[in-house]
Amino acid sequence: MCGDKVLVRGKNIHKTYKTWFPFPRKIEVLKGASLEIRKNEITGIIGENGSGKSTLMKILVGELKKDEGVVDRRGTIGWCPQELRLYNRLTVNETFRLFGEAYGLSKDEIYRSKRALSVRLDFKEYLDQRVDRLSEGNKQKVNLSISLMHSPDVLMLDEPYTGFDWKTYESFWEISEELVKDGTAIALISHIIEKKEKLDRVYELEGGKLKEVKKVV
Amino acid sequence: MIDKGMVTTGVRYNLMTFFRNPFNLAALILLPLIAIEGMGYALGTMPELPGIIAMPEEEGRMMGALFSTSFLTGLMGLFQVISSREADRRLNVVGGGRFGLLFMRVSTILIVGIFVTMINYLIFIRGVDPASHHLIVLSLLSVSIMYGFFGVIIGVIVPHDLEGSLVMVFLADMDVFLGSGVFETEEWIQRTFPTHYPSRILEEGVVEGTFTSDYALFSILYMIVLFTAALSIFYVTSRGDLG
Repeated sequence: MCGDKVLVRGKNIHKTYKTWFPFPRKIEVLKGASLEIRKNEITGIIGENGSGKSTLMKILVGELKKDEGVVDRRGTIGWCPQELRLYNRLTVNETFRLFGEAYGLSKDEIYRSKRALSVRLDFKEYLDQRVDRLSEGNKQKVNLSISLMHSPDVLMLDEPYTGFDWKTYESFWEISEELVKDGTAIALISHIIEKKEKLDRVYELEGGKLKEVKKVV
Repeated sequence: MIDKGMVTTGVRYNLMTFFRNPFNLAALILLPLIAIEGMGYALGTMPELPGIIAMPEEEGRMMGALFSTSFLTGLMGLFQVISSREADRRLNVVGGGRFGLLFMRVSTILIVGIFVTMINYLIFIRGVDPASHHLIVLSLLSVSIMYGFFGVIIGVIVPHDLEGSLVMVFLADMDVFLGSGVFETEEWIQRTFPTHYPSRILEEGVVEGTFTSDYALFSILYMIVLFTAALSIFYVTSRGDLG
């Protein structure tokens, strides 16, 4: 089980993608990756394109099955996937309502979190617009907000600021710091992390294994 | 555990998503019109068909109605699975659950199936004076439900719009042409196709108005088999590490 501070622990995770058509093929992505995501910390997971960062995150949130290893999770999880996983023809308001109900939030809680996040990330004038009619940056803001709306204990973010303007990018880091102060554990995936000083712990994914390259002092 | 509130919202939003797609709206009106009127006209120019009790034009309209009902609901089931696959997986992980998602999809298929049935029925009876309206609706409704589930199955196995649509048009075509018995085929081949029994009910509804319970029972059996297959395949493939 996870320790007091550790909210997500992955141990010896293996994952191989197998295809059979037109020819049998195997791609071994993770070869025994282990990591810990702790409360009050921002953990960075870096690595080259195609190194398996998103696969690792999908396994950590439970979206993808691992072949081997153990994942222990504690508390509620917020997941912002790299690709936009929203219903294109729903409006932003409807998107908040649907995901809010899936999280088990009341109408009032959905309304309050939607209002707070839309003001903070600057997309309140687009709440009645359909997701597929938003700009890429605004789509990503909604994508991120959906993962934040239920104030999760653990926040898993896969390249969350792609397409953000500078102001929103700064707001993102401010929100992250506030959440961490309040006890949230954040895992952040990126192939480039400009603000390394903001990270408490950094893992580098290379050759299917994770190496801790920065530890909190 | 299914969250009723989320499922109700999900079904409502699924329907809104369906009707917000201009292609769906156009197809919902134009395809039945073209298929029913076109096939009725095409077969109406032919002499009486051997072994077929309905008039050629009526037979053409029946084939058109069966094709447009099956193809439209199949396409709806297919697009529903393909277009929402990624968002569905996220909703599953955050608390929607696989049963909740399944319930949302099946309910939407049934509701849109009723829409498709009614539109096809209304266009169909423009040129036919059927002996039993109930049997016409029963026949088209069973076809729409069967093909809604077919759409889900194909959407999971062939998860691409174009390829999935091609499979669907081929399947609906073959089914209606060979299953309806218009073309001389071995009896067991006709019975293998899912629209065979609904096409018999449709024919009885047009010509005699008599109800043969065997036809209804076999139609229900096909629906149960397809429902179980769709349910299993959707359930298994949407499983992540959380169950």
